Amino acid sequence: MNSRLTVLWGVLLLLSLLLTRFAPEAPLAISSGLRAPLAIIYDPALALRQGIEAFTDWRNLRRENVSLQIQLAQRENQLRATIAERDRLASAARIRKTQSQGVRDTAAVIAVSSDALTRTITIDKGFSDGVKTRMIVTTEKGLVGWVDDLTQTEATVRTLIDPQFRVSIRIGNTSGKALAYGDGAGHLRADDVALNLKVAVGDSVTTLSVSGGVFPAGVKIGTISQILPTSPNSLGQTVFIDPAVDVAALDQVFLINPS
Amino acid sequence: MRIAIFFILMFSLQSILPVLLPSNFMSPDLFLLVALTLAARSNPTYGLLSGYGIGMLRDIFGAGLLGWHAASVATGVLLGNQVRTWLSSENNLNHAVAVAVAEVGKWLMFVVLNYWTRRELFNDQTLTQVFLPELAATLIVGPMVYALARWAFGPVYAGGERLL
Repeated sequence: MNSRLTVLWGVLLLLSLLLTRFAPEAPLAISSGLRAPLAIIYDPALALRQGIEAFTDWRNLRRENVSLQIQLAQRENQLRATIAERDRLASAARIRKTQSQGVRDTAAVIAVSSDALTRTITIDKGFSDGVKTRMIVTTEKGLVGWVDDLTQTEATVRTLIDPQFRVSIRIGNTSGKALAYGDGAGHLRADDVALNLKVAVGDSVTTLSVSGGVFPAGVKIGTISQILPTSPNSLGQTVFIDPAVDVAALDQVFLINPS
Repeated sequence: MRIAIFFILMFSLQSILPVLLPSNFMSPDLFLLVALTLAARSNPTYGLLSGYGIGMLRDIFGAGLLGWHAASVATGVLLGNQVRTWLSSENNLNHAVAVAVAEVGKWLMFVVLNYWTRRELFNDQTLTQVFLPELAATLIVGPMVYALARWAFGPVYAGGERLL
């Protein structure tokens, strides 16, 4: 760097030091005067900037909207799950009050098997969940059946309309008892209803707890739908019972420890 | 005509870049780049004077302290041009080195003038939030401004007298 240049820089620096310290600031009129010609490009640039910002805001709002919709859907799912859990607990409480104190667990119905010989359902709880054979399966509406077979994670429930299902019943408020079994056609049938017992179509049928039996007393089974005419040789009345529970339409059941 | 377009374009860009760029981006110092391209095409004395003049124009147009940018741009031009003459050839890397040195020189003069005027314009965030972003922006647009200057003024003369 030559000395002449250094001296010139020094002079310019000195000039600036003096100006910055003692001279007034540049008048605003000059920069204001430049504003008008600059507006030719400044205003479109500003409009472009505002347009970009508006687009960016719109895009961000759209993303936020999508995010909020997802959050809302999640909250709605949580709410539905909470309501379902509340309903489940309420049902369990009612069953505990009206059917048995031994409500142990709930289970979801994952399969329904219906053929000529069996009427069973499969639930999503098994041996590992503490389920045992002969546990009573019920709903708030009434009896469903009992646990007949188990795997680690699933259980097969023999429903009350299965031909191999047996349950002692009480009809209405009578003192008589009978043994009902599935007729394989969607009903239960009882053949040994005492002849002197006054029964009528529409009478409710509940479980009867007998010594050594597994069912708690008073669990609704259904209502009498048909009474066959008796003959002089009959030993008992034959009645058909419409189950209170539609086995094919179940989605959740309760498990009760056997009596 | 090309020279006029060059100056109008640089001045316009310097005015609208703060509007166009996102708020967290710093504008490049196009005045400094213009001063460096002029200094590269004239003798060192005129280059220094043109740098001072361009800085003074910026002070006037910006309604700021007279002499503030003038001394700073002149210092940047003096250092940047000196570094350019020490380097062997004209290429983007050497230009970037010269621009970086000029930016540093300009900001050093800012510091001196800040102390001189007792303005307290700098704080601990100035380095990271103003100086470095401006340096980066200036380095990024530097090759484009140099290419535009070649279009406007023609190539830089690279004769023997360049090494002073």
